[in-house]
Amino acid sequence: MNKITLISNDEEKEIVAQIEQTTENSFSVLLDNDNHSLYLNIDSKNSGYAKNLKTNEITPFYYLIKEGNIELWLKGNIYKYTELDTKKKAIQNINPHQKQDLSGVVRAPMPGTILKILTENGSEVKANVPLIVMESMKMELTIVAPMDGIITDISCTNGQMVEMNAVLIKLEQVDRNETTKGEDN
Amino acid sequence: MFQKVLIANRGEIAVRITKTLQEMGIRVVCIYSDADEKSLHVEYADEAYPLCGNSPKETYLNIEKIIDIARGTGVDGIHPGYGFLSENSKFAQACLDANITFIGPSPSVIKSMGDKILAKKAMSEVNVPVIPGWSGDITNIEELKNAASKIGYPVLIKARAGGGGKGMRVVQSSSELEYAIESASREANNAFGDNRVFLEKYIVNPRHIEFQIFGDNHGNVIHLFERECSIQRRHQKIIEESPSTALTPELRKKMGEAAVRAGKAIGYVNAGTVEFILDKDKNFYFLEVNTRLQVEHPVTESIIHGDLVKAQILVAMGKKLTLIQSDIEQDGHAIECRIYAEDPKNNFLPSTGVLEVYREPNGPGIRVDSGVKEGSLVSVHYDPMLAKLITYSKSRNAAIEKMLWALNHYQILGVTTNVSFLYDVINHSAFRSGDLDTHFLEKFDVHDSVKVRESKDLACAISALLVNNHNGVVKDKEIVNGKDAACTVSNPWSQMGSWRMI
Repeated sequence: MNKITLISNDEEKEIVAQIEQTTENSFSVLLDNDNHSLYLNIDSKNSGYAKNLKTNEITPFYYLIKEGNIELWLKGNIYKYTELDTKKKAIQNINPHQKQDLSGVVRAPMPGTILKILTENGSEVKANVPLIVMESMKMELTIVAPMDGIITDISCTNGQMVEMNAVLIKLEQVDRNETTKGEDN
Repeated sequence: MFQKVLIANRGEIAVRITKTLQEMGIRVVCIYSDADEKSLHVEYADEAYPLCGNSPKETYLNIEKIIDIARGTGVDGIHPGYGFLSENSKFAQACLDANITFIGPSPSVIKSMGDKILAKKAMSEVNVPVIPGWSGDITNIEELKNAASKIGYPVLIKARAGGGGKGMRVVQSSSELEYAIESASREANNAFGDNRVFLEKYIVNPRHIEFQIFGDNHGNVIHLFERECSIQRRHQKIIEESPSTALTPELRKKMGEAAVRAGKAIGYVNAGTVEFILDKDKNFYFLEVNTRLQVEHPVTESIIHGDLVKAQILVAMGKKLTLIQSDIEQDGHAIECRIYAEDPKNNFLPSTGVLEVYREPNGPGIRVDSGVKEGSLVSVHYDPMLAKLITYSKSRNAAIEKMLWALNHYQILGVTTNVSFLYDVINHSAFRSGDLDTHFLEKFDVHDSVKVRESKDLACAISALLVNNHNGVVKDKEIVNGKDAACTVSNPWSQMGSWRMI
């Protein structure tokens, strides 16, 4: 018996799958009391099919696994999951916006160029005030303050190319001495 | 007849133009930036030359470099595609100066239509209705604010050199005006190298209807019917179709005649598009003339059963249009979806990466114009549009069903795209009933109508198995490398080795 815990990126829901190998390439997967008996065939690259051993129905799929993240194309839908072990790392990758709301770290939501910095160190800003204007693929994007606070660090400069999730600005809440600094990079 | 033509563009449009040129027996010269060295348009071309660099200014917007290559390779003509230099009158002039035919209208027409204010003036002179607006000195904030309140909020800021939604902002109140003007003019400057913007009355919930026009050097101008492009996000079209469900035969005739009148008034030659907006009471207003081939031209090609690029080449060679207005019929229904590398669930932000899995749908009535293939890298440098998916059928309903099928069979992994989102829009009851306007995506939360994910559990089970297998393979490698002997106990699969391929 092997246990795999996946987080659905769409619903941010944890799913525990208990896997038992029955014969070679045939498995029983138990999800929330919903049991799937599947024969799995993987082709040379990124594709394969699953056969339901009860109904004999065959479902082709395409997939991609990278650093604990899986993308699966199945019947016209794309499903994205992250394995629980890598969840901590994944949260930063999945949704940088939500992460920004929780701490005073403002990250680049996409790779691109910094066009304009609208604030300076030590400035007191209100939530939703524009802080940075950046550009990617000829599209301009304004990045706003995630909360009320004081700018403590500006880690980017005008014209700089930044990667997705790069830390751009740090700010601290005004009415609290302590800020949550759960960042390790 | 042209012997050799240079395409001053990249991506899907360069590929699409290449196909027609080669079909006509014309050799194709293409140009590429560093990032595009391995791209599809280079692969299709007969000759390909580097532009060196990656930024648009160094590459596809660099007139000097492009003209040098054109001269050096001895081309007869240059096709600009859309975007980049396609509506740059200096480029068209530079082609003429180098004795190379620019496949498009004359520099003076491009210049007059590129200036949105001059264009409006020219149109009102031939009784084509225009939207009330103001084009004064925007650095005078007081005057600007007065003008805006005189027009009445909401007002729309537009780039004087604009197009494609860039440098455009809707302003609801005077407090937002200054910041919006600043940001719009900066965006305009980046996109067009011209920071001038102007104000216009914002027409609430209009439909976007445009007419394809075509002129030759012999004074003929015809129209090839309309395209409705009301489904937009960030002022950019994502779904286009023809015919429009909004037009009656009478209104179609009236708008078509206005489009032809507009074309004739400015002496239009080659392919162009007259854009209108249509308000709730079916009044139409001139928006702009796009003096180039449009992204959505395949929609028109489908319903008239023609090749617009071929017609562009023939007209550029001085040939007379072979069709007269009364010969042209609108037959059947075509829909186009733009496939973008962007995340609809994250504010449509562009996404980048390698297209690890990329399979296009095909079948009768399905056309894919694409600039990528499996393994292509989607970079930050250029527009995130990967491809255009066009379906054609006898009726709108049939074209919709075909589009849903095609979207359902478009397999892309590695880069987040808008494919599922497009499915939800096309499948939405309001879209099906033809109840469209440019705020469709704000009015309807199409994410709520997400198609029934009947296979969710199966997807989860398969994903768990794939992750489990993958972990086993990774562990095996570690054991082989002698890095982690302890894990042999923790993972029973590791002892089985990797799976047997059947």
